[in-house]
Amino acid sequence: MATLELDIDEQVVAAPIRKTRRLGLLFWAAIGWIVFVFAVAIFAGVLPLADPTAMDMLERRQPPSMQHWLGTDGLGRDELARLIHGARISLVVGLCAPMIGITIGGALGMLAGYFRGRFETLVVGSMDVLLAFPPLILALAVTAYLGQSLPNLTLILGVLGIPAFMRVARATTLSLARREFVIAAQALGATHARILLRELLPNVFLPLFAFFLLGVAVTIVVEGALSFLGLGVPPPISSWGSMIGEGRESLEIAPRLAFIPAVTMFLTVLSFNLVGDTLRALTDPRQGAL
Amino acid sequence: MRAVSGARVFAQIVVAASGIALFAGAANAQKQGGSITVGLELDITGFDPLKVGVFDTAAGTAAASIFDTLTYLDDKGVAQPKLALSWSHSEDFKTWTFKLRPGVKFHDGSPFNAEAVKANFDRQKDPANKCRCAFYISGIKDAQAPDELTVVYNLNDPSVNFPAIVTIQSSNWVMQSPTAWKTKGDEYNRNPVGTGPYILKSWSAGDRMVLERNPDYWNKGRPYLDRIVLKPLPDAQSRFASLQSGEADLIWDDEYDADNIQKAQKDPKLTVHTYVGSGAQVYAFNTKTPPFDDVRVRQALVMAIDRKKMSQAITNGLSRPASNPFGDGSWVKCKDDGALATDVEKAKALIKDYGKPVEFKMLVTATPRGRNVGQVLQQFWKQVGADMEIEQVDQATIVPRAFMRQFQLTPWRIIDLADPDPQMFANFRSGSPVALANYANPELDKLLDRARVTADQAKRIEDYCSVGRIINQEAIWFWTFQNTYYALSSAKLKGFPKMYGGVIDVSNVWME
Repeated sequence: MATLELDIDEQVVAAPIRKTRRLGLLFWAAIGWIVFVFAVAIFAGVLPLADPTAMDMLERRQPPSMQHWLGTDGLGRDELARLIHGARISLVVGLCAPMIGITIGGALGMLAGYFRGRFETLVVGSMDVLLAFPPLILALAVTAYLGQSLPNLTLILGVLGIPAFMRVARATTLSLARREFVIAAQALGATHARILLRELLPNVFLPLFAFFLLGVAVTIVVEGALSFLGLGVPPPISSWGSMIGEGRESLEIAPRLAFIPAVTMFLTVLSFNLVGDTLRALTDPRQGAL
Repeated sequence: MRAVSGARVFAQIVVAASGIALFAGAANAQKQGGSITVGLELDITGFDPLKVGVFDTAAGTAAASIFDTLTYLDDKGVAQPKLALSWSHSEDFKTWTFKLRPGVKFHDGSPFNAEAVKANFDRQKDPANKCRCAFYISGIKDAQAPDELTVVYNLNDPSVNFPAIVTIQSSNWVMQSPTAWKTKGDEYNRNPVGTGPYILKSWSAGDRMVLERNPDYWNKGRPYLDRIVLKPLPDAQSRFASLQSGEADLIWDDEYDADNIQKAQKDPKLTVHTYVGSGAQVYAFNTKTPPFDDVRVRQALVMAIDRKKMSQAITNGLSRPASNPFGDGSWVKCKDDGALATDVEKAKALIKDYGKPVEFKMLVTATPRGRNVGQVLQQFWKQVGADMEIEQVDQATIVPRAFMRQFQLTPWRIIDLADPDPQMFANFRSGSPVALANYANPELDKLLDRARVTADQAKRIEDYCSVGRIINQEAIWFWTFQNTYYALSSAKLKGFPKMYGGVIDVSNVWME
């Protein structure tokens, strides 16, 4: 398998490693936070948490106590339990939606970048149309038509992410498709499928994956915004965005109800951004250019 | 026509028309001049009934200043003369004759007379105009103007309290200038012309509406203020902040903004105006769809609701629990309304008795308050073993879904009206388009039919209480809270009347 790595001399490989070392502490702190959030989200069911939807209507907006570590929200529900169950929603949407984008957008981008011609014009044109469409209106229309649910929300955000992934994949493919190892493979009589999957995909995948992590961060924020507007997952399921939205109503009396989920979302998005950025720096095609 | 021919006996009621209106507010040193700024929840879209259909409460505030109605409700909830000086009815309460105030002119100088009243009615009633407002006057057959100052309304159904019903500042009952809407055409919607105490001076959408004192107002000495500025301030927090900073003198509010209302109650510089109206926040079961076709399920769900706790959870306890659809603001007071008391154990037993799993969807408005109410109800019902799924829909979607019965459980509202008949008849008489429960009961129909043609109030109260008992026992609808309306103002603002129908009427206030 002739991949790009084989062509890189040692000096170039060394460069990103130095960079990683410089960002080391932050990078690992970010990884640590992501692992932590994943862990509590996955094990939310077995952790000794209160029921995130059980209300104690006479104990609203209570300050943190032994019983409720982060206090209770505007309807007397345990804030910590809602935060952790909210992490599940944010992570499921945040990971699944960009996966739709990376799969469809990545495939279209590679095909467009490799085959060029009419197909490319068509793909790029239709993606421009999708980009030009106001995303919030599309989200509104789809939720109004299909109803509010986790799969629908993921689907919309995923579709909205396709153009961006398509562009990254196409740009990378364009620069790679004329490289020697591809021409060599063509000269050896490799089929299009083989060239795309064995020669191009491994090289396109890394920058695409770095972009995927940024996509996760953006999606978490967008999901938060939609939930804040009441277009996210239906109640009583909590998500960070809807918690911020609900907390906003008691901003003066219990500001923590809005700030705790906001800070959690901030840290998570920042972590994904940091990791994504570092990975992007590692896999930037320019670094590998000869 | 029959009604006008003299042979009929007209029972003269109320009103010795002395030409001087008996307006609310005692005579202690009202101050002339000055101006106020009012913060409303919504932006006003316009005043042409054909364009906007019905006025919301924000438009109602402007309409109360720009327009007059034939009658107004005094502090005791009794109709008093405004543009009409006196009125009488036929024996069967199906014909109402109003004598109008002479010498009143619209802001554009055209005269206010019986023809103008008739023109207002005919324009809304005309099927060709397709006015959404026509639904609310569907019970009136026609309006006649036998002479300059006499208007006759012929009703399809009897209405014993008609003069009180025409008091609300809705698109149906404010008197607009026929000359103005004819000459201005499409422009009229945003250039309303009435007979009211204030004239529209300028209006920029989304920002402010400025009303100036009408120097030629028929009621000499009124109004007191020189100018009223109406501003849309949709966000409750910023609305309250503008009241605190003095940018606004009066703001609309509701009990879902309980934190600010309670803060204002403690502030000596602010006054909290509150009015407990008739009616209630209500919910209708669709009794044709399972599981609500079984009375045990409906009763169980109603018994599961702890209104006091719910009030604590959503409005810091400000909401007043309702056990019937009439409310403290209504003259219908029942000793026994047959309300099902909160009883979780009994509710559980009823659900168990029903045997099948109770699962259903409830419509809620896609607003923070809709979601809160929905989640609290969901919690109550979960405790007794019923599984409710929240279906969030746009406010505007609820009405068509309700009319087409595309729901299992829907929120509704019985608004504050001077008489229970229009809404009770529409909501519970079998065959009515708004009888949302799809429920028919000859006993209920008989009571509703009788109450609307009975003049004796004591007998009507008895009938309406029986109606309330049947509905409570059959649990076809349930009520959570009474209609309580709020407005917060600077303590200097005086002469603020009761908020009938939730409308902030500033046409007669003054600043100290």
